[in-house]
Amino acid sequence: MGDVADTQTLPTPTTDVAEVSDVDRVWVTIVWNDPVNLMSYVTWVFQKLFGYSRDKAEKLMLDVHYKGKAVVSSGARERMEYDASRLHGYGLWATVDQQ
Amino acid sequence: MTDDSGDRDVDGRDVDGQDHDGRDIGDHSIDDRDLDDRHGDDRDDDDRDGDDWDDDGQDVTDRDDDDRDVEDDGDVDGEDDSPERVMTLFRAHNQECVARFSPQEVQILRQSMASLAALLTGEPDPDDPVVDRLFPDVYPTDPVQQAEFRRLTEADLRAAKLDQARGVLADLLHAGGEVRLTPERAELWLRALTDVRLALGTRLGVTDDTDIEAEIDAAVGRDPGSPRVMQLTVYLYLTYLQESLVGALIDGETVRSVDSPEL
Repeated sequence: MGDVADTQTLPTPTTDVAEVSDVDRVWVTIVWNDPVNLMSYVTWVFQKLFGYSRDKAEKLMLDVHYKGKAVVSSGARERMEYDASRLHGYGLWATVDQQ
Repeated sequence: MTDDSGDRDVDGRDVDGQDHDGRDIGDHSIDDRDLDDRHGDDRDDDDRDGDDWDDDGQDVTDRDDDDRDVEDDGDVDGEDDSPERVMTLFRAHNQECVARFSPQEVQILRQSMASLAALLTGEPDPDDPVVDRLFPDVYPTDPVQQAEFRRLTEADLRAAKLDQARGVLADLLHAGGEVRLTPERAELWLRALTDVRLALGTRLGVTDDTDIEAEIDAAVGRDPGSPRVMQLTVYLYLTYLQESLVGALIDGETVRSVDSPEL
């Protein structure tokens, strides 16, 4: 009683961890490399659409270029669809997925 | 992606100083001579503007006014503007992105944007790789979700792309060779140039490993008058033009953010 250890006991894990995490898995917008878009333009688009710093936008651009893709935003599914459609408006190749 | 920033020469002068068999690709500027050499016989058929250019390579669109304008404003870039070479890619000037096009460059831009507009207003061909690229699947592995997403978004995306292409056409119509774009207008041009390059690049089979200038050399070797030579040349020109516009827009933003009257 009044024991600190008691009050800090964590709740036991719920029965189906996999199911819960599947529902909660975050949605992401992925931009894929393509042979046409300019590196400078892609960096600019990331800054413009997401308000990223030049450094962050450039790092994402380089990931797209060298790794073939990069996660450029994450959050609610509807938001990711909105981001992807805006990216398509700028001619970038974007998909939505769960991670 | 493509990185052309390395040897970009916004002055429009030769980057490598080489003359590729009379082709002026290093110039990044397409003047009458470039296409005369390759397409002298066809050119008049494509000349829908009639008097817009003439055969001695002179720009006939208000050149005197343009030159006076530059002197009044002060030099755009603080560098020498020789009178023989007034065509420029985009550069930042005050709050705007400014470029001067030869009549032939205007014609190329018009034809490119008109082709894009025709593609966007025509019956969509689901088997056309260009359509796939302009309207990518957002759920490539989920046909049901993809169909729903497309139903909700494609019409708006198509309309936006069409507005952009028509916007560039409208700007060119009033430009008379010199185009001055506000930042908002520059963004519209960037999106439209992207779509045109995506369409052309897809048709040409451009990959990450494609060396456009080498492709042009190879195509010229096969047939200097072939459509592929022309399309590759246009693609390369639009690439440099877009690169210059990104640079000019960023330069202008930098100037605006520090509120400096210089540069």
